[in-house]
Amino acid sequence: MLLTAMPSAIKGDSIFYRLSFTSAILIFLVLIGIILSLIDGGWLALSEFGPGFVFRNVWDPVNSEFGAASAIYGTLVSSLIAIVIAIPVGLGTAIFLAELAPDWISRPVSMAIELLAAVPSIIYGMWGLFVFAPWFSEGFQFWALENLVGLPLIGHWFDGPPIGIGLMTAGIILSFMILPIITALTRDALKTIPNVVREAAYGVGATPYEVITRVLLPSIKNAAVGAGILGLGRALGETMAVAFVIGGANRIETSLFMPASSISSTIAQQFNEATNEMHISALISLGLVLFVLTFIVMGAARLLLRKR
Amino acid sequence: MPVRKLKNYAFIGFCTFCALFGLVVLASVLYSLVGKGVSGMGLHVFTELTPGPGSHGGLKNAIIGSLILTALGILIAAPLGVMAGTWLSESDKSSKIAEALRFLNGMLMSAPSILVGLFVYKVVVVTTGSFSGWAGAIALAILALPIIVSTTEEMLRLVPTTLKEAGSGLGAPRWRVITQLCYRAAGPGIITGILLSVARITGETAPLLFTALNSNFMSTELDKPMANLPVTIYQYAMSPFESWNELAWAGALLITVFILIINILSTALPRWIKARKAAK
Amino acid sequence: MNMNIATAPAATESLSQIKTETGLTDDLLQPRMEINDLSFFYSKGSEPALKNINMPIYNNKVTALIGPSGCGKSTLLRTMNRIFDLYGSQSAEGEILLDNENILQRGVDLNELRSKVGMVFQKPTPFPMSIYDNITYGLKMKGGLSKPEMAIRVRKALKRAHLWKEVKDKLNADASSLSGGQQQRLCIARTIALEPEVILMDEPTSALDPLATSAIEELITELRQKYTIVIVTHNMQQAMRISDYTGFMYLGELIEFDKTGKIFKDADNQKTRDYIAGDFG
Repeated sequence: MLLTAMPSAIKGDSIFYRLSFTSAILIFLVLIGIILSLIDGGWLALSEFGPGFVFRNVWDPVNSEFGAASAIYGTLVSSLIAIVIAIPVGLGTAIFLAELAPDWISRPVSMAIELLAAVPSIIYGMWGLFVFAPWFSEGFQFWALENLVGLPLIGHWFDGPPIGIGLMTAGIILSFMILPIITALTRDALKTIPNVVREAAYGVGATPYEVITRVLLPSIKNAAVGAGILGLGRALGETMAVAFVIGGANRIETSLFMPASSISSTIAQQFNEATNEMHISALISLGLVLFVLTFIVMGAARLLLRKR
Repeated sequence: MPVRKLKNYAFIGFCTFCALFGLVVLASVLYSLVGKGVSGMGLHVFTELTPGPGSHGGLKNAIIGSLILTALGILIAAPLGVMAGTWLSESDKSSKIAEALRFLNGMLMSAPSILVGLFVYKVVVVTTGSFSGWAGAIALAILALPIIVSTTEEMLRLVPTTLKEAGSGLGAPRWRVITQLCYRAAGPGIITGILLSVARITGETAPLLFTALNSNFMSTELDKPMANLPVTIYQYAMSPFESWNELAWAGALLITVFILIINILSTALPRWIKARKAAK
Repeated sequence: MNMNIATAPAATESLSQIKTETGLTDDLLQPRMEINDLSFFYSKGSEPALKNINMPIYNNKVTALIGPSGCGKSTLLRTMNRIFDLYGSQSAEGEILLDNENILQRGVDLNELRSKVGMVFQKPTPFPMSIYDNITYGLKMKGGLSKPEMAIRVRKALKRAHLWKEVKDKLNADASSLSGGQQQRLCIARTIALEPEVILMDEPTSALDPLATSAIEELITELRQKYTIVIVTHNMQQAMRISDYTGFMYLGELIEFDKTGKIFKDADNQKTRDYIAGDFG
């Protein structure tokens, strides 16, 4: 009697399993599809310019000469500026929220920081162009031109037109965008540290500064580094905010005040205007380079955050 | 004052400054958004079509287009994402395939959205020969998918195993246990995930640039380029025309308010559902 | 787990008296289930969690499984309706006969099996739906009942689980609105609504307060007239109070199986005696 199986139930199970498994495999297919379509679309440019495409410092749509160096430079430098600002500020904010502020302050401030993450990137771009850039030009660049250009080693960073937009502006706007994620991840990591650790450390007469920097921060080292790398990954691929303020010049300049281009901003600004095949293919090759960059950085962040 | 104390105060000062810094940025963004957005806002924004260069008009077609694209994107992504998340949550803990898919899902979640745009351009726009609403919706669906997958899995894993065992113990086949018991128990969490993905894709601009493109006409045909808010905002904001800039700010305010509402809903709705259930 | 041995013999005596008074001689009883040479593995190639278990489950009797935690009593219970099958890596060897059919063989319809061998869990597991829908859930799975028939079953099951009076006016309320003890009785009602042959109970009162516990115990004693019950318990007084037969398990083995009175009064095995006396566990 037991052996007379209800076929409907078994059939239902197997249909459901197949449906759900197919959906799960879709994730793999989409990712593979992205890679293949980038390789396929960029093939023309990659075979024309060879692997040296990555290092060629030329971007000349008129003569169909392309190289990724200036866009990669713009992407890396703007992202670097972003994490150099966002990591200390994010860490400081996280410490303020998790360790220093009383609950009635840290709760609304946390919510406000999360709100910062909900604002879409195009709005950061607009704000950067219309509000931040004029202020940055008036409030910092003119002063920097007078006072910082003479400095050894870093002086040339500030030697450029004080027009408010450029590599540094892009980096600063990016830092605002990745601030929430770095803050949230490190704050959550701090909160997972059991209270006995704090009690033990304060118990021997340590100041908050000593407790936090010598006991708490070392124990969340991995999470903090992971958060920083995750922020870097976000910054590398961010398009719209950068497209508004980076200036759109495909050149490598040592001055951070000069207009420049990132990979994503180049694609966003030129793709629909590109008419010849080689230009389109070169833009898609840039996309492939960006994919590889983010894949490496995000993979590293994920591994770090997992091994907590 | 001893050096130790000085260091401590400097440190506390620095941390407080950092928190204030974030708040100032947020305040400034919101201030300019509201200030400039409200002055461009009015009934005309909702009733008139996007204007030609330098002239006046509204955002009606862009608003409607964005609503269509977002809704369609979620309609594609939600069933697939929930099913995929279900498979992941039901898979064996030691399953290598599941682990790989989980990793890939994470990568998809952090893939730059502009690359998703390029992918859909190659696969849909080039194949069909035209920019289209479909292409835009598919691009948005791909961005929403990984968020829905991971929240669904997370929420289903929180369903106590005893509930599943109790369902199986009554003779229910596995798929019924999942669809009737687990989905019900994890429902509020899954809805939160879907709403969060709505908030994420609403403001996305880059993937629409070369998929849905944009349009100055009122069109609900999905096989033609479709007007949408983010690309309109981008074009209007970058233009030298005062009237376009004003509309861009109005559109930016609209999008942000919409996203805020969705965000609030995503935390309030599950609580509301629970409260209503308890009251019954 | 310290118990007062002084009171134990008296209690069992009275219970076995009741048993003889009910007329049936236990030796003539037919087993409802028979477990033969059962071994259980949590994953392939691992040490067996159950080793060569042999034991009968008698019809219309309450069989209790006792033993220190980790001894395999819950594992044994979970083989009897093959709920372990939900986890791919776990496997059982040997034979469990239900009405002379081996439920461990391939091709057994598990959904059918589980509607015959119901299970009640340690913690109450109300489904996220109304009280009424909780009871009809399994019935709908089984199919073949009209709406009015279903309503009659619900009433009957709730009455038999002593829950009817408390919930009859709020059958549409969410099941999670009930108290812990009520939820557990709801789970029992849900199980008996299917009219199973055997009911497995995995420490059904461990999450409940004493008052709710005694209500459930009373219920179990009553249900014995209609169902065959196997109960895992860590509470030896409970085993004494409600069971007819007791199996003592230790490290994956069934050390001793006998009438409850015998196990608690003068067990054959020294280990059993030590455990009953509270020397370990």
